[in-house]
This record gives sequence, C-alpha cells and structure tokens, in this order.
Amino acid sequence: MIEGLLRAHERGREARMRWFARALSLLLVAAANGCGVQLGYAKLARKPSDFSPGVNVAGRVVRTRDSGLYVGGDAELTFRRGARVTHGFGSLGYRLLLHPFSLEIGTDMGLGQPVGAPWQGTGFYLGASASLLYRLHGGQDADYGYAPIGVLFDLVLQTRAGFWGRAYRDVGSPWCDGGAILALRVTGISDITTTTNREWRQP
Amino acid sequence: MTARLITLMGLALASGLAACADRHMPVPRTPTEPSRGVLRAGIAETDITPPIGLGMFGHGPESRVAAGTALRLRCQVFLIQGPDRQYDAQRSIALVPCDLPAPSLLLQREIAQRVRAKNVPIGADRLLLMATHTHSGPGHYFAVNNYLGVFSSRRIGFDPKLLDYLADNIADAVVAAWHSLQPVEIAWVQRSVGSPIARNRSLSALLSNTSLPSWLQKALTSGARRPADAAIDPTLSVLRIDKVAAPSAPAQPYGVFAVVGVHPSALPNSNDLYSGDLFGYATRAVSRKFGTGLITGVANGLEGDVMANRARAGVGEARRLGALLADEIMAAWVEAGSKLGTSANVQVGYQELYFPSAVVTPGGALCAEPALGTPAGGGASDHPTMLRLFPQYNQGVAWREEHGCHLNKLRIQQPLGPDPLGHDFPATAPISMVRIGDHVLATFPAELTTVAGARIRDAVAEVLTLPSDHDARGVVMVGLTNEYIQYVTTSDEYKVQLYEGASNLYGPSTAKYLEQQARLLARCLVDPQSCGFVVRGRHYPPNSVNVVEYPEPSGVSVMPDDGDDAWQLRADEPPRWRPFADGSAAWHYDFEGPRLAWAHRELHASVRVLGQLRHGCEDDDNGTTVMIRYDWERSRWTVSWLPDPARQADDCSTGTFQFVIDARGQRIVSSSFPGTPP
Repeated sequence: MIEGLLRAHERGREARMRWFARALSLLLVAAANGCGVQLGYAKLARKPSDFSPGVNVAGRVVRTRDSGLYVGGDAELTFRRGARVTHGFGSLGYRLLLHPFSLEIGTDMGLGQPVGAPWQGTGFYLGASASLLYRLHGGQDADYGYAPIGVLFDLVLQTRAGFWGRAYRDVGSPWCDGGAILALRVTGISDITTTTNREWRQP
Repeated sequence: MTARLITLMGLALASGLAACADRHMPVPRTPTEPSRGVLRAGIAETDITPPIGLGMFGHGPESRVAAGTALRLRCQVFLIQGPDRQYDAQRSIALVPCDLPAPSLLLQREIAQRVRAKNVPIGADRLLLMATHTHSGPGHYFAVNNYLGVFSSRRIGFDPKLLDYLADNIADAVVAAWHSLQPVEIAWVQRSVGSPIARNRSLSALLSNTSLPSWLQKALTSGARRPADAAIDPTLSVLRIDKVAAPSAPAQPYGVFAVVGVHPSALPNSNDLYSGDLFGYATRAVSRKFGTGLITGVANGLEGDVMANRARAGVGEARRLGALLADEIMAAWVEAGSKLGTSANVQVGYQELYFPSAVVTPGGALCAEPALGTPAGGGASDHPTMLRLFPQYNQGVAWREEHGCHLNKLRIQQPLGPDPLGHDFPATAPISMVRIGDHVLATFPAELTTVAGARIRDAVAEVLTLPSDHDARGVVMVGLTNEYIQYVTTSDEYKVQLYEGASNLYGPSTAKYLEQQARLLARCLVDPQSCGFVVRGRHYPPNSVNVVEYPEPSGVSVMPDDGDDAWQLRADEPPRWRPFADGSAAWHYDFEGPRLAWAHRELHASVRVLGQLRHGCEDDDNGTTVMIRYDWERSRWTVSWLPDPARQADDCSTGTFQFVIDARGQRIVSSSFPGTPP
C-alpha cells in the first residue's frame, strides 16, 4: 500500500496523499503531540499536622511548543491505612510555557476519599492546583524544529487544595484537603501528527 | 548473596560507565620516506562483499537488509609514488575508490593503522578512501549515532566485526599495491561526457542561485539538451597508468582511475542485493575490454544533485548506464595515450577540519549543532522514502521565517535532544589536495552540488593558476572521501530546502567554508613552507593527523557468526524460467546450502556451457550476469543467470547451459537448460 501511495505521489497526486496523512495522523493523535506521565511523592493532609505520605501518578496531554490548555488526571496512593488508591482526579487547566520553566494552573474534579477521613463511601472532590515545572532534559519543544518523536523530563512541584463532599451515609461536614507533590514527569512529544503547516512553507 | 548482588551491581555500573566513554580513533601518521627518483605505481583490487543479513545504507529508512549479491563490491587501490625529492614527505598517495555507500573516518583510520603496522609508509594523511556511493552496500561501519539508526537503515547498529572485515581487506590491498610498485607512465585526460548518463534532480534549487558558472549558464540556455540534462557537471577525469617494463619495451595498460559526478542509483530503493550499481558495471566493462591485467576504479565527483539518467530503475538500467560510462572512460583512455609521461610529480596536502562553529570569513560561522531538515527524511526525488506520507517530509518544507543559524530549515530533532558529546554527526572531516602531474585532485568529505562544487573548483584553480572552467581542466573534484558530512549546497540552494539543502548539516555557509579551506590547502601546494591551519583555536601544520573521539560502540554486532558444519548442498528441482518483479525474466536454480549468512563467502555459483564453445557466456558470481540470493523464509538459495546480450561477445540465446554450485568441497550441478526461454 505504501509503495502504491509513493507511486501515486510520484505521479503528482499529492493531494490524495495529504488526506491520507491527515487520516493517519488522527489515528496517531492519541499517542502523540504531548503526553506526559508523572510519578511523584505526595504529602496529603486535612490540616498541616496531619500529613500523610503517598504516591502520585498522573497523566497530562499538553500542547507542545506553545502555551495552551492541558487535560489530565491524577491518582493517589496513600499509606495511612495500608497502601490503597484513595482518590482520582480529572484536571483541566492552562499551561504557561516559559523555558526552562512552565506553570500549570487548573481545576480538579475527582472521586474517592480524602486522606484521614473515616468514610466508608465515595466522596466528590472539587479543587484547584498549581504546578511549577523545571525542564531537566530535552529542549525540543523550545526549538524551531520538528520532532518525529521526543522525550522530555521535567521536575514537578505541584500544590493543590479543595473540598470533599462527604459520601452517602457518611457523617460529618465537608472535608478540606490539600497536598504538595514532588514528581518527575516524562513527556513524550511528536510533531508527526501536525498536518497543518502552522507557519511552515511548502513548495 | 548480598555481596554477590553488590558485586554484580558494581560490574553493571562499571560497564555502563564504560559504555558512555569515548574512544580515540587510531592516529596513523606517514613517516618520511626515501625517494627512488622514479615515478612508480602499484595497483591492486580486493573484494569487500560482506555476508548477507546486514542493513544497506543510502536509502535512509527504505534501505533493505541484504539478501544476496547482484554485483560483488570491490575496492581498487591506486598507489602512486612521485619521483621528486622536493616534496619528500609528501610523495606517495593511495587513491582507494570503493563500492561503499559512504566513507567513514573511522574506517579510513583503521585501514591506515593496519597499513602502517605492516611497515608501509602510508598514513591516514596519504590514504584517500573514496566511496562510489552505491546505495546497495552495507552500513554499520560509521562512528556517529545518526548513521547507525533507524533513519539510515532498516537494520541498525554499529558492527565492529564488519569494520574489521572491511579494514582488513582494504588494508591488505593497499599493502599489495605497495609491494607491486613499479615504474609507470601516466597521463590525465578530462573531457565532457557526451552520453546521457546523468541528469539534475533538483533543478529548481540550482536555478535559485543568484549566479551560475558561465559554462553552466551556456549549457542551460543553448537548448541542446533538456534543462535537467544540461544542469550537471559533465566532466569525466581519467588517469591512465601504464606499466613500463623496460625503457625500450612498449608500456602495458596497468590501471585506470576515473572520476565522474553522478549518483549510482540506477537500482531501485527496494533492491536487497549488494551491488556496485552503474559504477560497478562500468569498471567491469573497462577491465574486460583490456583483459584481466588492468584494474579500473571510479570515484564520484560533483554528484550531490545529480542522479542516474535512468528509465525504470533496475539491473538493466544499471548495466546500460554502466556500459555508457565505460565507453566514455575508454575513449578518454585512448586520448590519454598520446600524453603519457614519466615525469609527473606527486605532492599531497591534507587537512582535518572541525566543522561545529567553524569561522567563515567575513563575519560568519558554521552552525554549532549539525541538523537535518525534514525533507532529508523524505529522500530525494529519485529515491523517495515512505516518510513522504507525512507532509512535512516532502521537499521544500521549511519555516517561512529564518530562525538562527540554520535559517529556514525545519530541523529534525533527536528523541532525547542533541548528543552533548557531539556524536550525532561527524564533526571532524578531512579535505585533501593532491597534485599528480599536471592535475590536482581536490577531495571533500561530502556530496557537493553542481554549483557549490564548481565554485570551489574555481577557487582552487585560481590559487594554483590552473584553468578553471570545466572544459579547461586541471582540478579534479572528488566528493565522498574519507568522511561523510552529507550534502553541501550553495547558500541559495540551502534556502530552497530540497533534499540536498535539508541534508546540508552545518548550515548555509558550509560551501563557503570548504572553499576557504580549499584555498588555504591549495596555497600549501604552492608554498609548502608557509602554511598552517587554525582548528578550534589551535595552530596545526598541514598533513596533521589528529586525535578524533567517537562514542564507545554500544550497538550489537549484526554480522552473523560462522555457521555450523552440518549442512549439505542439495537441489530437488531443475532450473526454472521465472520473472523478476520488474518484469524481466531469467533462469533460476534453487538449492539448499549453508544456511548461515557467513557461509555466503564460501559459496561459489557459476554457469557453464555444454557442448559448443561459447566462453563469452560462461560466468560466475564474481561476474556481472550471475546473481545469488538467500530466501529467509524458505531457507534456500537461488542463483539466477541474466545474460547481457549487449555486452557479451557470444550469443547466449542458443546452446545448452548448466548451473554449478560449489561450497566447502561439495558440488552440485543442475540439469541442463536452453539459452532461450521455454
């Protein structure tokens, strides 16, 4: 099939190829552009005297090369009453890119249980987070280049705070919660899905 | 247990650290040698066809894994020693054209190291490893990361065994040439190739130049040829070398060294058989004309934007174009007969350049970080790659605005960013200036486009007060020598960002830089006592062979080991007439043999004639009509016979023939088959 397409290209039928590339790009888009996986050490607490250690696993889909919206999710594993996943968030926010730093500010919505709460059911979380990232390695997204595939490493300092709506049949008032997370984020990027020219010139 | 674990971890850490370390290439320098007072030459030839199973290099990600041989790969060595004491330490030069995709400084140093170890006074500064640029040869012998990865071949990695194999074979040929040095007479001829062998593949880039050489302007406007056919450097340079057995005896043909500028890419990028392509067929044709005593080698000239003028890519076109080139070489050889002489001096200038951030006067510099543009990944128009499916990999894609040193190039970035040690692409590469008689050979580690090369040639000719026009002769431009920094274009061509501009690693000033350095080196030939070079802030005399670092090879060896001995030659079926993918057809003979690829070197396949005497039809896998291929899925070899009616003395369409297979003392002979198809 590929050789057939190349022959078509040699005969000058480039338009068809571009449509094919766009279609292929759509298939790849989920795995490309900018997808980060983050693993970090979290301190979670209702109040400062009540910090509990945990592990934060997060994913982010970001726009590369420019500032822009991000979407993602976090899951947190705590060790207060044995190791267990206590809650998970979905995140939506804006990433400001200022190489080698970037700042992410967004809102989080999640389900689960706050750290330290004696709840039996599943509560609802609404909060905000701010993350400061420092680029440890990889400057591909800071450059006027084209990365077929690239890997970036960032050090992440993330803080968040929010409220938990208590779970059904659980008692008590809404629960305040906060945390600080120090993490390493590995982001895979690719420009191969970019079928628009942006400011590139084609013959 | 814990101690053992700690020890293992320590060893792992140590080996990991060792893998990050750099190695130094050998530094074989040329000693002072005594003069014999006579012009001498020694010529040798060697087979460098490696085992099958290696990735081929030249078509980028389209390069196939080699499954056999269509035309064996060879190197020729033309070792020339001048008679004059004036340039005592600079009198010998080894010209080594090889059927390799690209030169490698590491390979060149390894060859010179072996040659010096055998007390032959040819150091790295006297050895010109000139790749023909066949796209049907192996990779795996380069010292930089990007020539060993997925953008270069379908099979990746550095292979120290292949490096040793190539270096051993080529060094042995240099030593053999040294030991066969004998009095010769030589003559140069330069003429324009009249046959339509080549055409320009990037005409729009060439026409973007604000000025063109007058001869090129004239060729383009004359209307005698199509613009793409006219927009090339048509120069064919031929050095004829004849043996002088005795002063009164007639000289005997000994060797022919030729230079012509064209990509040997008459074969398609889907080819998976080793082949010297059109240069290989040309050298065979010339040598066949003179019998076995004459050795022919062809190096490549200004070929950066010049492709083979082929119809449908395939063996037929490679043969046809090779035959045309052979005819041109032989015509030049005849012309050289009236100019032969024994008084030619030899003088060598050699300079290693360091490219990152090199100063280009006035007020410029090369880029600190080498980079490819995205059109490089899509391949040139004569061998596009599948990456062209993505729009950004097509020719001409660039930034609208200029950004930094690389201007508008849309740079392909490394997955983990550039190597901080600078091993992504070659940083050090030599140029040479070699006077042999009344001509000067100027060699460069790159593929120079027609206009970029013509400008450098004019600059060298100006310094040496030689005629500069391509018709006037005097300077012989050779690319792809000793190292490979890919393409060098003019700054105007660079901005167009076709394949060649996108493959110009160090930015738009590279051609200017090479021109300046070539001028300096040419001045060294004029006044050897007063020249020197500044490289990375240090002063070096010319002909310095310096330390060059390269990364500790971390790739796996891809060259297969020797196979087991438990095999037997066997064939169950008679020869069959079968078509090839390109529509041509031939006789094929399938057989079981030594399965592992190393054994390929021990296989010998031939075609013999039964009954009537038609010796011109007989051939073997050292020749041009017998191909051999291993089918990995069926675990069988296939030998194929493709007579070449246009070039063979005898008519092979009538008569009866047999395949004969020899391997490790075993032999099988096929049933007979007719010359005509059934």
